[in-house]
Amino acid sequence: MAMDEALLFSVAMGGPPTLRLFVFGRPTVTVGYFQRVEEVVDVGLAQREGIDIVRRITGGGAVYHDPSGEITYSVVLPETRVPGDVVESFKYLSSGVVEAARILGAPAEFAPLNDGVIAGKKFSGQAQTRRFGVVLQHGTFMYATDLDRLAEVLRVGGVKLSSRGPVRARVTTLSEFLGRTITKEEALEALIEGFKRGLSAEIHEGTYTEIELRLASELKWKYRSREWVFMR
Amino acid sequence: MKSLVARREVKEEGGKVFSVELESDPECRTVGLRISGDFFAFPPEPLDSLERDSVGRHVLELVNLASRALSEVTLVGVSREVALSVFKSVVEEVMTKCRGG
Repeated sequence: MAMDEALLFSVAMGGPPTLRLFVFGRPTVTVGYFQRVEEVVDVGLAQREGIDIVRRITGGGAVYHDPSGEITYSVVLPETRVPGDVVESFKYLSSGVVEAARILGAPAEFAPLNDGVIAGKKFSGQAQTRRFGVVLQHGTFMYATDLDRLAEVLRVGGVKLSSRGPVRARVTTLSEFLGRTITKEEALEALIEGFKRGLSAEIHEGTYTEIELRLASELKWKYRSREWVFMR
Repeated sequence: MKSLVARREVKEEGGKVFSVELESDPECRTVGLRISGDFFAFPPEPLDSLERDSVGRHVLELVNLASRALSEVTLVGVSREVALSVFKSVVEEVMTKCRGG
């Protein structure tokens, strides 16, 4: 999360638009900027099972990142490069994950406001923020996420539960839908090609700049602090 | 001192959860305001400021403060009108309980 914010600053200062594909080092739940941790995460279970909790600077809902079954993407680029309408921009910037799923053989599509779905079940969620004329969108690509663990650690209650039902019934993975094991390498390859197609962009592999690394190093303390994580 | 709490949560069809919790003292002064949910607000800072700035003020002032804050953000997942109605709802509930009401 610190690197995503660093990239946002970097692009705001004239750095190149960036696509970042990464896997969390440990099982992690990220919560949206406005969410109250205790309402959306089983904190006790997370502590017992060694699942980290991190607050994002983007809005949206809580997400379970499974290092063995999920790749996270971040796209950072000037606002002028994306549709002005926020939902349209969600659709445009998530086209990479939708294309990637199609490459792997699943009939994926975008579902407003911010989901990627296969046969009506969510395999990808997107979140976004806009600052300094820059859009940061990050999202998930669940190719083999442990969905039972996801359903255990994420809490859905109140009006969301009554309107949408239990979590487990609403989500899927590429492996589950296709009935075969999708490997991390397959998923990664599909994502790179998917973003090339979806964004009609040339993608060049690169390394972080010195300033991005320095910013991320300074920002990581915020993301690790209890004040930030339990801000709400 | 016993505080009074009102909470309201909405989710429009196809939208996101938007929740407001208002805590007041018996004299109708705001003790705490918590805005939460999985909605998006660009930028988020006016809502952060609203949470801070409303503390210590009469709860009735919250409607105007909220209206101003909401006019400064682009909301996604909840309409401005519905968001404002949530603030009005918690204010009304608190006002029926506190002495200034």
